[in-house]
Amino acid sequence: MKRAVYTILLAFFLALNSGSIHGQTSDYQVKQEFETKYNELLSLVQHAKNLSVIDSLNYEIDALRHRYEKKEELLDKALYPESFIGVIDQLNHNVSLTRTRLIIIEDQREKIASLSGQISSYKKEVAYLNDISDSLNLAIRRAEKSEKELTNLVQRYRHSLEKRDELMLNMIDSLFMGYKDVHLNRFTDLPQNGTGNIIQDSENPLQIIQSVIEKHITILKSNTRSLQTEDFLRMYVVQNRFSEVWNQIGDDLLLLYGGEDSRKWRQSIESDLHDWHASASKQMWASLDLYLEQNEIELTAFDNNQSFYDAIDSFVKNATDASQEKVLTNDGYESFQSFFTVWNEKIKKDWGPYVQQGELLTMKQISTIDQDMMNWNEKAQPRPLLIPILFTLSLCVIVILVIVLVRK
Amino acid sequence: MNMKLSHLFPVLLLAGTITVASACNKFIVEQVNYAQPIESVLEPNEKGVVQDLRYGITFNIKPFEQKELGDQDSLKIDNVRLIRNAQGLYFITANNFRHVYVMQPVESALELKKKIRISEKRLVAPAFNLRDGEVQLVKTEVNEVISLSDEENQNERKEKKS
Repeated sequence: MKRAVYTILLAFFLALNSGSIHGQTSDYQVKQEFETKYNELLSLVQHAKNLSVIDSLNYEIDALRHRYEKKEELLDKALYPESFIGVIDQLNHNVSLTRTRLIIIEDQREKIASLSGQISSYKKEVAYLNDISDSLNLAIRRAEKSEKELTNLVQRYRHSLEKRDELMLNMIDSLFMGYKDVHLNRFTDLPQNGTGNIIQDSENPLQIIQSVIEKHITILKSNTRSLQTEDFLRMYVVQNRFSEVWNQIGDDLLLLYGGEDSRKWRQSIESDLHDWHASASKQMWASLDLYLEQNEIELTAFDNNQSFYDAIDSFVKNATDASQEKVLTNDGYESFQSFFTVWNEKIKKDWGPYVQQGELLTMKQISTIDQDMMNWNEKAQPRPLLIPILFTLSLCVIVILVIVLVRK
Repeated sequence: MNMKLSHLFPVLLLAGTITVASACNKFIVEQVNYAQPIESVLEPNEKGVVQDLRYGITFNIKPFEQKELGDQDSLKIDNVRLIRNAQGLYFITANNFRHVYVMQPVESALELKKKIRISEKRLVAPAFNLRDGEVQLVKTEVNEVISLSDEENQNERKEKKS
């Protein structure tokens, strides 16, 4: 069936092209006509938009070869240093390249369409959660109700933000990393007409990135009294992950979706990301510092990962030294236990995932502090004083008895 | 006077011997084929200069133009058609010409070897082909082929006269 169709098409193209080659034509004219047709086909191949066009061009190339193969000797001389077979092969090679590219486009088109669908659904979900958060935040501000109701509102607000951040992390992992898998850079090799429609028809991820960043900045700069340290830690992690993904796929997204405003998009998003990072970082470190202070853990000032580690390290070492001086009292051990609870229960357990994902402390730093803690524990352990006291008391009693006996 | 000639005889003999000897030492490669497989179609610039980059020749078409068109400013040459046969002779014509000029290359010049009259009417779209080593003129507008080899050309003329 396919062969029959091929034969019919070939005959059709041959019939279309026949005529001028017969009769008295000059060799130069034959060469000119061949070159014109060749260039026309080359241009069509380069600008082919779909596989059916490429297939029809295959027939046309075959027709061109059939039509001119009787003039091969002449064309070999006329086209020198190229040859007739050489240029036909080149044309077929271009067809093959374009076919491969079009297959990639088809594949990428499907992926991008799917990602575009995901963007739409994420947009709706983000908007829904934003509405809930905004209305709860407004209710908290206006709250003149009982403390119980206010606590309830704050809890719901925090929960809505948590859900929103979860959604953000999901979006980063499934959606934006999905764009990374699409290998957007492949599109840059393709003719513009091949990518234009795919891009125009799909949702622009730059818009959702921009709106997400702006919303986060607004939240961080508005009423944060209702939020707790773990909220700020989570927001810091989301920001970190967002920046990381932007660094990985930002260039490709700008290339594809930025269009003529690519530079503006870059400036705007990168400036917002910087602003977001500054706000998230400032709020998170301040909240962490406040929490430790409330638990009577006085660290030296810190506002970044290294200074936070240095502050803990220095605190543990100083406390260890101080414990040796308080060996006969329970004070050193009490402060150890207080810090031990915060370190193990909060920093390592409750906040552990954020501490790791946000790289607040590295595994090596955590392990070093754990070792220092063991040392502190050893030094802070209160000594068992009952035996020496009893021994001293017994000795005193004996001495007193001896004295009494001697006097009698 | 006779004395002087007899004195000069050995000198002339020596000069003659040297000339013959040097002629015998001339290095010649024979059976060279200069044929151009396909004609060159060259567009003259504003000074009338045509340049064939592939086969390496540059000349001015104005002298041909002067002979063919005279002072008729209304007639213009679009493209100069040029082909070379196996002997190295250039065949030159153009639209609005009545002749094909067969030119022999000499030192920094082209020398007219033959001027072949093609028709009374000016050529509209002439073209050259090379077939079996022979140059043909194709009048593409009327699908007519004219052989430009000496014998055939003459035969054609005779046939036309008869």
